Amino acid sequence: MSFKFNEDVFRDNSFNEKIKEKLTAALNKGFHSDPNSKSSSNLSDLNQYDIINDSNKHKEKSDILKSKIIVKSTNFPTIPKFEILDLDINTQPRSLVKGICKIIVKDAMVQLQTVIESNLLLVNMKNSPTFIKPKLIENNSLEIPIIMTFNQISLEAISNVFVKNNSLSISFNDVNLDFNFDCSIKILQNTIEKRLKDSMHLLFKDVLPTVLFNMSQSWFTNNHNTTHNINYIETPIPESTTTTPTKLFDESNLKNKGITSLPKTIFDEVDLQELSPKNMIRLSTIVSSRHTLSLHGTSGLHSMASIPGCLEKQNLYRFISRMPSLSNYYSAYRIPPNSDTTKNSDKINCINSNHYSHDNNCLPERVLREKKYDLNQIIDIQNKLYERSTADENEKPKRRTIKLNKKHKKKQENNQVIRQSTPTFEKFNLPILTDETKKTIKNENNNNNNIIDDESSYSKTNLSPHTIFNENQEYFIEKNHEMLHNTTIHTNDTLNSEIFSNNTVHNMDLKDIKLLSKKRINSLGSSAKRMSFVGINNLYNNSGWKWGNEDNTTVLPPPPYRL
Amino acid sequence: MSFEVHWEDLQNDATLNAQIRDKLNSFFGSLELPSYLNHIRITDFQIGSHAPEIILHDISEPISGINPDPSGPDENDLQLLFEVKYDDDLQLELNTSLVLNYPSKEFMALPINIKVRFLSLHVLCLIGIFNKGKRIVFSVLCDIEDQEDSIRRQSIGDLLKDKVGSPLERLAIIKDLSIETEIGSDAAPNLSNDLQINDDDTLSELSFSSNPNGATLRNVDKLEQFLVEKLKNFLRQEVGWPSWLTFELDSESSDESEDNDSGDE
Repeated sequence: MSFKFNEDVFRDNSFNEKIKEKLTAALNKGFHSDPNSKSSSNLSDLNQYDIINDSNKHKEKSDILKSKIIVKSTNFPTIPKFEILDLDINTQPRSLVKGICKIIVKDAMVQLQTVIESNLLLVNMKNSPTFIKPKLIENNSLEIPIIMTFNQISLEAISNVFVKNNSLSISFNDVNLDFNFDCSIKILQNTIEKRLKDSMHLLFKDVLPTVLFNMSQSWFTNNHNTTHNINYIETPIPESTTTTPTKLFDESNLKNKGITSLPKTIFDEVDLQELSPKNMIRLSTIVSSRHTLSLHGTSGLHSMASIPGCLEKQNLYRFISRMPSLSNYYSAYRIPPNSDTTKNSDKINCINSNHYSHDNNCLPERVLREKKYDLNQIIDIQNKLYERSTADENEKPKRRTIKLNKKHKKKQENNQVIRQSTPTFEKFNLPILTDETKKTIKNENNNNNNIIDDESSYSKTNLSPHTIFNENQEYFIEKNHEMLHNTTIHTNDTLNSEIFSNNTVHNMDLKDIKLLSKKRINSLGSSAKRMSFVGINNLYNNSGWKWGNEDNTTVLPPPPYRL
Repeated sequence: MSFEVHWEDLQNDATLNAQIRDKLNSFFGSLELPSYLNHIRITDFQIGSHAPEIILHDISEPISGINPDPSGPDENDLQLLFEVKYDDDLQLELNTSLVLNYPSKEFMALPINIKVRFLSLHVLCLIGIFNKGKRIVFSVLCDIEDQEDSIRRQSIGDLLKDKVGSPLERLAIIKDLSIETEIGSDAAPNLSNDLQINDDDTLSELSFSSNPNGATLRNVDKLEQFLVEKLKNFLRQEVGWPSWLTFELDSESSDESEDNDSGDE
């Protein structure tokens, strides 16, 4: 068996007792409409039996049942089997667990007792005129106790189980159900048995799946009210960008209070009316701008999008390739993926250039071996990437404190989560450039050396790539982005494609330095709104890249875009 | 500057493996598990056959952001920059079970066996030592790309290129991790031997066989991927820069505490 059942429960008869109790309660749940019976059903979680009961015995119950259905005895001598035959887990686009299960129940026995009412002389007098009233009326009921025993119940079923975010759906594919039926009123035995067997099909195809689905929903929402709610709200509307955030918030609030039955209004017609025609036109322009079958950028190589400030999906890779990453920054140190064969074509053909490959953010090993790394630079890049990866701006990085009691030289039970400190990245201690190094930088600039391409120049001057940018903190952040930009997209720029290194060196003008040094980059944790758009400012100035279709002469501020 | 680790001595030390296993078990035993998990037990632990490569790159003054102590920097504070490379076939077997507490407590349980067979990581770590060695801050800065990675990149580079718009992963920490899963109760020992020879074929037969113990489901690919992904995310969240772990030590020299940090991985 794949699932292990707790054998003790079966051995000491407690399971039988329990199932008896629960079945009794459940079978009589619908019975409280009858004034004669006191509703003893306090088991709200067992509504599944209620529905079965409803569908199977609906008519009988209301008409002829005179008492509660009492489960006299149950017996499960053999432990049921529940096997998983196959399992499949999907986390994208939404979490989904699929499984194929096999359920085997053998030799089970259930005995029910109830009282039925039967009266062959019953005259329905409600709407009949009095003159047809017979002389002899016996409308008192004739009550007959009945005991039904289901023996040797054996069930073998193969079912598909799906667990979605917070619901469980089951479909029974192959059901073999067999039982011996014994009724204390022999005359009814055949009829009841036939009816029961007929309704079994419906039970497994429709009733049971519905019931389990409903039950699972109530379970999940009750048990994990707080944790699952956010998912629950978000999943049905993955693309609804127009939903107002306040609405979502309200709903999640309601959910947290346990009001789960409220219908959710996600997109009202009223919302549509609030959009001005102007906005609608803008939206439709955006939509129509995407009506293309092209897989590559639609608006030429030099512009990111046809609409100012709008990043189009097919250009996203360019954007990402320009994001500061360790692989980008130290790209000169990377072992080229296809070192010998396509060295030249790498430079010319932008599509095949390895700068565009979305590999992971790794520090090339050579940087460490040759001691060319800059810790502050690495930290800065990682901070930037973290900022981008978090959806919530106020989300703080986790910084747990673990207390270790070293008296026993043993990891004592770690008192975790003591505090989460506020991150401060305001200033790192940066090495201050001496006059000498400044001189070397200037020389470097004048020499037009192949800084990136020719490593030998590195070893000669003994100057790491980042030293150039250490004038002050603000500057080097900006500057590096520009350098990244150049290292990644130079091949795209057909005009300047021949000498990439020239480009780099030109950009390190002192004029530039002054200009850029005034800019401040908001660091992580600061309350100011971030405008984290990489290297775009510089794009306008030199290589003719632009956002949208605006003129080259007007330098627009970077679009407020965050990944 | 790198450390030499006498790994051979550790490797053949059965008591050490047992000790680590017991410690981890006692740690798991102390955790408060959610109701649907019964227990977490490590049944087997073997450190791998190769030592991790640890290279100390730099000892310097700590960068200012990393010290959580408001009292300010001390001149004895230190910051170490380590490169850690581990590429080995360690063994770790973990046992847990999913429980259904309905209709009675622990009514139905689904045992899950997880075997970790191979772990590969190559990272740059930052260790800050503050307050005379009483506070250790540990964080994984970034991954390091080595020769094997670039070969891997070459082979799948073209495929990756088409993943337009895939976000850049800040940190992976774990480069490679192989997990074997086994769902369902342990079959009889003789049976499990048979199973390991030919997993896929025997699986389907076994499921329907009359074997009283039933079948276990092995090597569920998706589940393994899922677990690896979860673990990666967990590590990234907990120790991946700009997150870090702070260890507060009562009375301790800095050397031993480093052992703790690396043992965390």
